Order: sequence, then structure tokens, then C-alpha cells
Amino acid sequence: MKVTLKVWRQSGPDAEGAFETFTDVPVDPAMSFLEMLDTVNVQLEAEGKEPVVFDHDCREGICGACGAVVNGLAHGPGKRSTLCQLHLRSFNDGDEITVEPWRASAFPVVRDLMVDRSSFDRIIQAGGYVSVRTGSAPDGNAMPIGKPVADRAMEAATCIGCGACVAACPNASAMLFTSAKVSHLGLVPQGQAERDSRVLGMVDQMDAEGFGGCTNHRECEAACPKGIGVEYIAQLNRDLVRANLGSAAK
Amino acid sequence: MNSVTTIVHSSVGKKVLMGVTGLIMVGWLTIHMAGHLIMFSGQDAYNNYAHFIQSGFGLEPALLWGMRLFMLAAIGGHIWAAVALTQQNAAARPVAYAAGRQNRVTTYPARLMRIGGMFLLLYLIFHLAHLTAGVLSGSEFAMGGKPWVKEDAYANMIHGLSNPVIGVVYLLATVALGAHLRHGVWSAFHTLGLSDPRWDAIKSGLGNLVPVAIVGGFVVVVLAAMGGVFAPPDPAWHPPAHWLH
Ligand code: FES
Repeated sequence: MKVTLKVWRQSGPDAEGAFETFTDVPVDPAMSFLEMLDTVNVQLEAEGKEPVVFDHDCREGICGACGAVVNGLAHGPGKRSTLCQLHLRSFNDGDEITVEPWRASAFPVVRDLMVDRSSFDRIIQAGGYVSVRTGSAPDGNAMPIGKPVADRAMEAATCIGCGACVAACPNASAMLFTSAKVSHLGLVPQGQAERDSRVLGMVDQMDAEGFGGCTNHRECEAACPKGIGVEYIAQLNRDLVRANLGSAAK
Repeated sequence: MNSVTTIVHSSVGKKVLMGVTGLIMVGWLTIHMAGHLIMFSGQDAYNNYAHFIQSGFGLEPALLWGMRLFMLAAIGGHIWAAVALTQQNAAARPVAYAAGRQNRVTTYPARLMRIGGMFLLLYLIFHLAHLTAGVLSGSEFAMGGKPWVKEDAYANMIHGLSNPVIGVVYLLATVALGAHLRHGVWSAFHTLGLSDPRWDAIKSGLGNLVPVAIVGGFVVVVLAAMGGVFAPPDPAWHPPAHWLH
């Protein structure tokens, strides 16, 4: 099978970008999307041209490094899938496939399909941690946590920080990411001491980075490779109101 | 950073304001709709109800103005938050997707919130001018050539809806309101933090029920007025003397 690829090429953060078209790229239905880009790059390098730059690491859907918008869909047409887990069998012979980077002012393009997601890191630095005394590890089960709570915290913790929620959101909002990171700690006892300062700091940072606000379209939830739900956004909203009322009362 | 003011300046805080002001309006609309159903009880009953409102709920005329200012503040806050958030959202994605961002799940009511909201604002201004302030009194087009009489709200409503074009405008506004509430009510509960899955039934239940009830009530009244279901107003109707002190 053969496909035509329209790939966003941009030589640097401030450079003018444009689409480059690769016609009749020979592909196998069992290939992953990234393997297809690899074949294109092998060809480009053989011709002495610059390869297409894209982020990737694990190639098994667990690290969150990969990601691009394929035909207008973050991570492409797969369900609960990262780009590395998208396979060419999701396309048809002769398809034209448009590949572009995540588009958000908080995710500036570094090069081609690679964007700078350090805004996510700064949101984490603004409170997405627990401060603990180091030392020997605590005994397992020393702190009992109910199974339903543990499950909800774990579901939030499955966020791999890929940025698809931002890419898919009509407003380029980072609410799903931020809410997952606020909630996976805020739901468990270890996260209580810093629960208020965490949500206040992370929401402040999220806005400062230039992400948009949530308008409840739920496109993030549908694009999330881990299926993280928008109930965590409601949880964040509640925590923020609670934190404000709490600190106002003090 | 980390301050009490986060709620004021953050995007989430603006959404909380959006949700609270929206729910205030929903509460007001529910009463407004229920009041309109009194039309079915006739001219005396409806005009009594209108007088009850106009006289400051039978207590103090200033209360009516207090209520109006409160609603004006709610509408103003709602619009301010919408404009501020829309600007933030537009700035968050300066470069659009070349292939066009494809939606997977969002709904038309959700996508039409901004344009629908603007239409509702225009409608609200028209509606207040038409039936609350009576600025179109005597208009052939908008009042069937009849004068607007403050105390005779029953006749105003029937004359005001005697032109099918006006009636259709009211019906369209009601449908737009329904769509706005379809997304808005659920969103307000969500924004105000009903996160536990146990609340889902309440969120989507009320999110569906509230728009249907409000739209249903208004549509019934408008259609009844357009279809001549209400008894024609008695031209000799006069407000009781004690209303006019
Ligand atoms: S490369 Fe790790 S998730 Fe795709």
C-alpha cells in the first residue's frame, strides 16, 4: 500500500514553516506511524536531506514522548492510542495524510513535528509533588487507602503528559493534564498537606503559560491515550474553590 | 501566586463566576416561566401576578429595582467572564491546524455557546423593550396596533404576539435558550466541582430536565398566544384603584 504524506517542516522555533509532500510512500499495514516516518527519514538521509524531526522514546504507548496531529486528530484516528501505537492499517491505500505538530502558544514548535512541552514541567514544578522526608521506605500498607480512592488516584496518575489534551482542545486548554496531576496526589493521604498550595500554584502556572480555559467540549477526554476523564477537571475546580475559601478564612 | 486572588484572576475562577451567574439566571428563568403559565388562568390572575412583581413582590417597589440590578450584575458578570475567557482561548492557539482540528465528541449546543449567547443578549434587549418597557407601544408590527399598558400585562402579551413574525422570534429565542442551557447547566455543575461519579446522574439529569422544562413552558405559552388559545383581553379591563396610588 502507498500513501501520500503532507508533513509540517519548520527548521527552527522562529523559522517560517510549510508543508512538505511525500507522494507514494510505500508502507505496510502492520507498520506503526513512527516506523513510516522512519522510512521517510531513511530515504531523506540517503538523498542528503534533513530528516523529519519528531519526538519518540518508548514506542509502546507508555512514555508520552510521541505525538502529532494527524488529519486534524491528536495522535490520529485511533481510540485511546498514542501516535506510536497507531498503525497504517488505520488508513487506506492512496490516502493523503496530513501530519502537523501540537498547536498551542504554550507548546512552541522546536522543529518540524517536535514541540517544546516544558510548560507542562513548570506546571508540575508549581506544586505537582509531595514533600517528604527521605529515609528508608515506609512499610507497605502502613497508610490504609480505600480501594475506590486508590483506583481514582491511580487513574489520574496514568497521565503520561503527552499533551494530546491540549492539542485536541478547541481552546488549547491544559485543564485535563493539570487536573490529573492535581488529583492523583490530592486524592490520597500523602498529598493532603500541600493540597491547597498545590492546586493554587499549578492553576496559576497553567494560566501563566498561556493555555486556554475549559469549555467542557470533552475533546481532551476523547483524545487522551489513557482515557482520563473530565471528572478530574471538576475535582480541580472544587479543590481550587476550597483552597481559596480556606486561605481566605485563615 | 498561591493567593486568595487565584479565584478572581484565574481561568477557573472566571468559569466559577460564569457558572454561578448562569445558575442565578436559570433560577430566575424558572420563576419567569412558571409565572407565564398563569396566562392560562386569565386576565385578572395574570395581571395580579404582574402587579405583584411590579409592586416589589407586594412589599416595596424598590425591591423590584434591587432585583433588576441583581440580575443585571449577573448578566454583566456572565458576559465579562465569557469575553475574558474567549480572548484567553483565542490567544492560546494562535496558529490553527492546517487540516482543521477534527472534533471527536463535542456537541452543537457546546459549539454554539458564544454565538447563541450573543443572540440571546440581543433577544433580551428586544424582549425588555417590547414587553417590559413598552417602547413599541401602538406599533402595528410589534403590538398589533394596540397601546402597551403597564398594568395590563395580559393584553400586552397577546397583542405583542399577535404578529406571527414576532411569535417566531420568540420561539427561536426559546430554542436558542434551550441549546444554551443544554450545555450550560451541566457545565455549571461541573465547574462548581460536582466531580464524584455519584453526582453524574444529577448533573446530566438536571442538565437535561432544566432546559426541557424551561423551554417547554415558554413554548407552550407563546404557541397558545399565537394560536388564540387565551381568551381575548377585555378592552374595558381597568386596574383596581388601590394599585394606582
Ligand atoms: S513513544 Fe512513548 S508513548 Fe509514544
